[in-house]
Amino acid sequence: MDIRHILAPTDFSDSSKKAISDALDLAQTFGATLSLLHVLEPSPYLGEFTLPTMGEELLGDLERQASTALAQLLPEAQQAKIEVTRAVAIGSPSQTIVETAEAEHVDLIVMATHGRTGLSHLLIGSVAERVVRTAPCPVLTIRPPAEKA
Amino acid sequence: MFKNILVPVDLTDTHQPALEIAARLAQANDGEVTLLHVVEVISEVWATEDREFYTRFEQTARDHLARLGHALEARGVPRREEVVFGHRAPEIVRYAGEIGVDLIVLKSHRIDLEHPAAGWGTVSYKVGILAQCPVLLVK
Repeated sequence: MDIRHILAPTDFSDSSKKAISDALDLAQTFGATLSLLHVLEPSPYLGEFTLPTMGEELLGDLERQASTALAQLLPEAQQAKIEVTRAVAIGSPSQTIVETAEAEHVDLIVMATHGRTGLSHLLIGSVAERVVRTAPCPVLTIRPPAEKA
Repeated sequence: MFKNILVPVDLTDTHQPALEIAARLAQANDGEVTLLHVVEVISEVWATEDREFYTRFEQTARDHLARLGHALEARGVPRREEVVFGHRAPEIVRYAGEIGVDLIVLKSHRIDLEHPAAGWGTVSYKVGILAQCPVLLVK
């Protein structure tokens, strides 16, 4: 099987930074394109306790911040001559990751087992758990080093 | 990055995608692939009461691993083959921890969203959750 396109979702947590670093190494190994993806999940409280336009404005701000943060990730990719694409999406993280993998014919997803929303006492984070179960392609889960016994 | 790669296999011929990706990673990193088969035991006293019965399974497994191993060897990938006894998911996780593997690669399948509970009991799902090292589930 060919690994030509790797998708590495990130929530900018330390554990996801380790995962995208590993994803870059794999992209070098396979000569693959690497797509970084950050998914913004709209809070259910937006719109309920705020003016209707505030939710959109806040999401717009968050989207811009995420784009800036994504642009700063993996500066070493340029030297490694790996093609890296960066995208911010809005939606349910696990569903958006799986849909992106399907739509972009991704060959491999590389992601951390625990991100910002993963409770450390759980064996695996909820986003990773859903992606592992429903992804159309191979999924590599990376555990943060501190988690090891 | 991944030099010591564990590929747990059953006795089917459905592991080719997992073996292929493990071989390529091992080649790229001057690594080694360990092929592991867990003979599932029914009773906890199998070693004393049913040894002969399980020895036949062990031989079948060793023959199967040897065939898979030859294919890796033909590609210049160093490999070793191990057969252990026990319950598959805990044994795979235990063995991976014992020899300090960098990566477990195993076949998996996509869960049918209309019957999501059907995937919870699979070996790949359990290993993906319990293993302390990176796990690559190949579908």
